[in-house]
Amino acid sequence: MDNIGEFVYYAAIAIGKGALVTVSVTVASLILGFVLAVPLAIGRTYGNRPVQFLIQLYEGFFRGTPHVVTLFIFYFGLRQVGNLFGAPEFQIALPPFPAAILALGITSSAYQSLIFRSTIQSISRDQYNAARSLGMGKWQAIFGIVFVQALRLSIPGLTNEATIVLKDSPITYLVAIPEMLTQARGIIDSAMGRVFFEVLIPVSIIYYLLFYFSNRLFLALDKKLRIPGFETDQR
Amino acid sequence: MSKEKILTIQDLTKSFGDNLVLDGISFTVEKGEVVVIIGPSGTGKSTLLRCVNQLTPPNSGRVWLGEQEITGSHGNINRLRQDIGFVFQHFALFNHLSALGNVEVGLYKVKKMSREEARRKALEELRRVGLEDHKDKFPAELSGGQQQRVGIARALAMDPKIMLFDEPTSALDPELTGEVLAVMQDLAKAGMTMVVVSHEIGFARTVGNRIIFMEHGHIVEQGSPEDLLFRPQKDRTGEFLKKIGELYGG
Repeated sequence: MDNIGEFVYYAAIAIGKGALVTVSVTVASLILGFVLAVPLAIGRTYGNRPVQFLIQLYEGFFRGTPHVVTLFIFYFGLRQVGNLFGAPEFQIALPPFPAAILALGITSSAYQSLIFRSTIQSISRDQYNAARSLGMGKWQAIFGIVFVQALRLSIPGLTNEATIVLKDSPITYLVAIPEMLTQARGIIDSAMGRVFFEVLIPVSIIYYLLFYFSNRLFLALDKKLRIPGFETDQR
Repeated sequence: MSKEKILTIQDLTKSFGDNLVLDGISFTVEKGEVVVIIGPSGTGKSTLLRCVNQLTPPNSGRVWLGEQEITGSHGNINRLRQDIGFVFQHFALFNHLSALGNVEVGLYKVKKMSREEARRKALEELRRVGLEDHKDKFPAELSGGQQQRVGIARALAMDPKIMLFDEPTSALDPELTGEVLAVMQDLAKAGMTMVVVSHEIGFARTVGNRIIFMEHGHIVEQGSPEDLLFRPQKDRTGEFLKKIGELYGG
């Protein structure tokens, strides 16, 4: 390594690209988790017994299984799925990105569903009944009155979940997603042990900044959407 | 006086598990009548009101609003509920909406009025309950009495044919109770048909046309306020009224 400047330049670009991948995987997983969690939480609260039971199984499975296992199921497992039925030619070969986002997103949906369920239940049943007594239909009352309030109250829980998904994202390196920590590892390897903290510390700082700004974003949202008397931020 | 029936209840029963809460309730309410239902806690008074607008579906029996049957009107129930104003014991205001928002939401979401039209009508209803100046406040920023008046305005905005009040003042202290009862009294004077579950014997006497005394899911006795309050036919009615009198000085 003759040119330290050149090394730093390429390392910075690699880590920058990795950071973008980290952000993309995290945001995509959170969005997928959200989209799945809303019907899950509503089904778990308002659905009939079989629906509630199935959702409970789903939540239990994805919360109870190590995230790495879930990731392997979506990436390697789906390729092997035909073997289970004696039809090895049948396989679902997901590329790394969709597999990673599915794994992290579905895992997150199980957690987000719990967040929404608890806030939905914090809205009094009376408000739902009041909406129905005005002539609103079931779904109109659930989404128009109950869920909009639950969503606002969910912001602190979602802030936490966003942080957790951000810090879970490095596991996608196991299916070769070039996220930030994968890039960092590549740089460390290519320098053959001559650098370690020089790479890891900047990477940690970037993680911290991502954490910090996502928190600020949610906090701003929380302030903007506050309901008088029901502030979630008591400062 | 015309004898147009607004509400007809026929042989209504409801049980929760083994607990029979309503055991064959029948009565009718005529246009402009104010019926006050009294009785000990847990005798099914609130359940009765909820069975009327099907928030709690009854096990058997039938309910009509005017000529239209409410029971078994699955597709139509949302339409029929608009004609039945419901006021809740604990107000049940939508916490994320201002006073005005609470009153107008049914108008544009259910009645599909334009936003301006809904706003105009909602303001009118808030004026009627004396809360025009508080229109932008949120439920948490209002007193209990004010919240309940918003609840009444919200129900009135739908132009219901009948108003059902489920213990509208039992969550309020005596001072706040007065302002809510005053609104209800004005409403009665304006000719609104009302069924009120309440322990406010004073209100029942001065505003009510008829009092129904209920216990254990049955109607024990009903009659004009004078008859029922001062010449009850059943011993149990007298006993209950005596207790209420001791408690409320009524």
